[in-house]
Amino acid sequence: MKTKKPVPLPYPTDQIEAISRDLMPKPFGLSGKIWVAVLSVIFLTGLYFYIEQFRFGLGITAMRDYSTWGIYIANFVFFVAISLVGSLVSAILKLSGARLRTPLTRISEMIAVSSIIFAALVIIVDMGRPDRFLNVIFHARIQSPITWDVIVISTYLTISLLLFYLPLIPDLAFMRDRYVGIPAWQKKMYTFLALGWNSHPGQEKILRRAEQILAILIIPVAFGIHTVTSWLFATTLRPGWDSNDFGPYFVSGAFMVGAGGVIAAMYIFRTHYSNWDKYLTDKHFEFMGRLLVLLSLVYLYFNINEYFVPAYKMKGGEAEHLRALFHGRYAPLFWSVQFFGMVLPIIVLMFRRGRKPLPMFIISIFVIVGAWFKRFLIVVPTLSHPYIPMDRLPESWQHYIPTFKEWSITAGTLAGALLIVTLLARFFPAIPIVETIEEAKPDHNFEEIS
Amino acid sequence: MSTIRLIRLFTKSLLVSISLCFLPGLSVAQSEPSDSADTGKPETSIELMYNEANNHSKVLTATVKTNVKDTYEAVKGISVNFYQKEVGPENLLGTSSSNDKGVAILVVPEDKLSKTSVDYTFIAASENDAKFEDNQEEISVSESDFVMTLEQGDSSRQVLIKLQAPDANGTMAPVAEVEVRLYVQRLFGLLALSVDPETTDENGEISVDFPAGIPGDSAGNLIIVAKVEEHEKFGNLEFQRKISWGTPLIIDPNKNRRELWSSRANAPLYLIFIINTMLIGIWGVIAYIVYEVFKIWKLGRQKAS
Amino acid sequence: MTATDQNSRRNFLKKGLGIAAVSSAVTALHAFQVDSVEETGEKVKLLSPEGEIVEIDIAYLKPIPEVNISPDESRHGIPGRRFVMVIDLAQCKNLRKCHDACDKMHHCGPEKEFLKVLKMQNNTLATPFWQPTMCFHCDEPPCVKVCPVDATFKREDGIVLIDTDRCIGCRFCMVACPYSARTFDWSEPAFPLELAHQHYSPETSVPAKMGTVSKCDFCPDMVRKGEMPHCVTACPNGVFYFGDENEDAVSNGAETVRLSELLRDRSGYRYMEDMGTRPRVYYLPPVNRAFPFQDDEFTKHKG
Repeated sequence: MKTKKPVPLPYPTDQIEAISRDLMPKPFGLSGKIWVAVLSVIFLTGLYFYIEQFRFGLGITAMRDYSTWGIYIANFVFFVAISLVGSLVSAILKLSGARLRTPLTRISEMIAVSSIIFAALVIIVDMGRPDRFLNVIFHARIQSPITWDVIVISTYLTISLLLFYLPLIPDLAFMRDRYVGIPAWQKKMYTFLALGWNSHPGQEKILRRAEQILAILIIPVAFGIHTVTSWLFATTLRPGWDSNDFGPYFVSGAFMVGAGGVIAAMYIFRTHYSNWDKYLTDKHFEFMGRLLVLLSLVYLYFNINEYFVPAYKMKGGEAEHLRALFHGRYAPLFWSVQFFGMVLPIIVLMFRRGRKPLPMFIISIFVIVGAWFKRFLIVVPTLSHPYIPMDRLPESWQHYIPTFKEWSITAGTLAGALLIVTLLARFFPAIPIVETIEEAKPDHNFEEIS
Repeated sequence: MSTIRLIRLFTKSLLVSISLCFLPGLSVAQSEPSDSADTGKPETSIELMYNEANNHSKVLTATVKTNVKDTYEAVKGISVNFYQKEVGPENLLGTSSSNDKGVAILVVPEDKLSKTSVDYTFIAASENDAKFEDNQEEISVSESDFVMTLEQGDSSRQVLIKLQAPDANGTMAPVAEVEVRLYVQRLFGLLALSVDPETTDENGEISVDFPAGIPGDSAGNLIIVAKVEEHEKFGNLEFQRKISWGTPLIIDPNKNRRELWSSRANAPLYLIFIINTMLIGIWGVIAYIVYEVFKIWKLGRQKAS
Repeated sequence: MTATDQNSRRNFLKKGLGIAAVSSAVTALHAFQVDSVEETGEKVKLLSPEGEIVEIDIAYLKPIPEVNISPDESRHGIPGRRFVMVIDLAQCKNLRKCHDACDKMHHCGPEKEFLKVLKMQNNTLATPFWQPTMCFHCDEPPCVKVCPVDATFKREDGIVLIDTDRCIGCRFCMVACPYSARTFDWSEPAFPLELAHQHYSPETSVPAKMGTVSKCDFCPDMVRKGEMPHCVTACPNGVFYFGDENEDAVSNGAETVRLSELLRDRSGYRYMEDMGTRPRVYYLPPVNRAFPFQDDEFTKHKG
């Protein structure tokens, strides 16, 4: 450690008060209540249909023997992808010493934790026998990529929770000591979770060290989680999935949608809470905009590899699959996703004016929606093109069109994930308070990486 | 009881018994449905076969079928009486019920068989059945002596067949010009050793070299079967013997033990090693972090310096 | 269990081998069902393959109902066997008797089929032909590789089975199978009540369970009885040959032939050999066909 680590308190009182007033989690206003109510309704509707599915089987979906994986799996891949943002911001940006990352870390960890929880739930939703979920542990076959996925998802969830929780401890202590006018249980919760934090130098040292270790540890696990998820497809012999660079293709796409997720959340927090434009500044947007362009270009590169190279060869089953994407049944969706979800963001974000908060918010929505449908395009068309002829099948088996109940369950999981982020932001500061205060000190040294 | 052992035993015996289900048409005689006495009950057809195995047991099989919508279907569970000479209680050899395939089987009891002549007449009859019209069928066969011997020379393996039958005087004499087929017993049928049947010479004999390279069981055992099929005089004659003339089956118990597609207990060692190393490594660090968090809590109980 | 019981059982087993060898008299003798046999006192002399004469009670000659192989037992397979199938495409005219028999015996519902008869065409100039497909029981089964819970497994006798008591319904195996051989019970399967209460065995794939995967099982329950799978026995044209690779013989019911000679002389091949899955089902090319190709209404899937 290069420099001394000052005890964070006391500071000039007015500054502390201004920051804590701005950043302390607040009860929902009217818009917040409406937001939570809408999300709850979507979530509960999904839950209602899931209970029906639990009782009567996956027959309520449009999945059948050929299109045996559908939007549940696409949604699962989406959740895993967006959860990678946690490692991107908390680990990669931290280790690369990016100065602007402080207000972004908590937001990205919140997104990471909620989406990885829902990734795990969605995979249970897709199971024919969720009642036998524990077989995955008690009869685990180490040869199966699903077993690897179970291992790596639980590992990633654990590390993400720690990466969310550890930097939160000083904030919890701060709120325990200074947050007045909150219900007793909330105070108790802060007290309990703060672990008796009192800025003891020993505590500070342990915490910084632990954060550093986790930041390093999460990188291979993050690459692992999405690479293994890509292997659920790439280890099969199916056209469109039988690819060697599915791992990096998935990882790069995941970082891209993760960055998009953070931008969207930044914009919503910035506009929703007063004074947050002081913390989530145009500079932060500029920084994330540049990052998103970079990540999109990397993803574009992998897309070219993924589609152009097999399209040049047009080999057997692969050709049938690609024709369906390029000018067949899936062409409108495919080209929309590629243009609005990837090319357009690159073009817009190339310009300085495109990297202003509002255009970036719009672009990030394009990126997120595009990313969801991109997963749909990765999962579904392949299964519609098996090697054996399908012409004798009924129409509904040849083409997979998800049912309303299926969409509703999927929407429920997305709403659920947003609900978790919302509730986390309701009780925990979405921007680290103590760290922000610290960085506001004139003599603060950013180069503290050991 | 050790079921597994029994199953093993059973599969061993399968090797031997299965041929029975797939004998190529053994019919010696087939009755046509009689058109007399119309009681309104459906009619049956009976196919009666005479089989002699290893020159010892005489077996009668009667296959009972009925015409349903222009196809013959097996009549299950119908009682069939087997007689010798003619129908009558004093000539009853035994009674058997047909199985799922409509086949009623009787092992002819030697003590009841009257040996007044070298020719036998057997009758299979379904009588007074509640559902079907009465029907019967008869066949005549002659006594025969059909023997297969296997001779192992230094470099040769020979299958020797001899067929004899009593002549007019009742003394055994060779039978020439009878077609005999040689088979090797396989799981679901008899594998013919040659395309065309062999024929007995004037001495009633056949001599055939047994081909090399036919797989046997783990000891090289296989069952050689010689058959006279559907002979107008002798019926079906069969002689089978087990001998270790086959290529022994070698099953490597360690073959394919640890593969990606093996059971969880036989996962490849490198996978177990890699995954456990990673698990221990990463979860070890996580455990360390949790321990450190615990230390934060302990420090928190002290007064801040 | 008393000592005399044990003794009589041992005696019986010894005799059992003898009976089995004897003749077509014995069709479905089951060694396991000793307890239920009541001796009649009537004895017959029979000859064992070793040439010994044994005398046994005729009660033992009665056919005895089949037993159920438990999920644990069904993981091992029938010792010393490597089951194999050969399908003669020149003989298939899409009668679909195989399909119907399979459906009936496995109680496939309206949306499920283990065996398909597909219209195939190698190129636009070649005449189409009918190709029955089912689970190929591959020697490098990609489906078994990916199963996370050991629910589907490859047995020593080559057969790939599914234990639907174990299956979690993730359907990874269905995705991994390039031949689309596997089916899923998307809803509660409908079948007669007595079937629903039947004891489940992976060897029969019956009764099916909602939310689990099932497929062609090569009918090991029939094989244990010494009979061939339902599709083989149902085909009137002798399209299907079934047998034991270790014995180098397959049979279509009418004739038994050497597997190696059949594949050598008639250019046997495996479907999509380049997948590297090493199927246990071979095809004989549709040359010198027994029937002209005729497209008909049967081609439609029932769903």
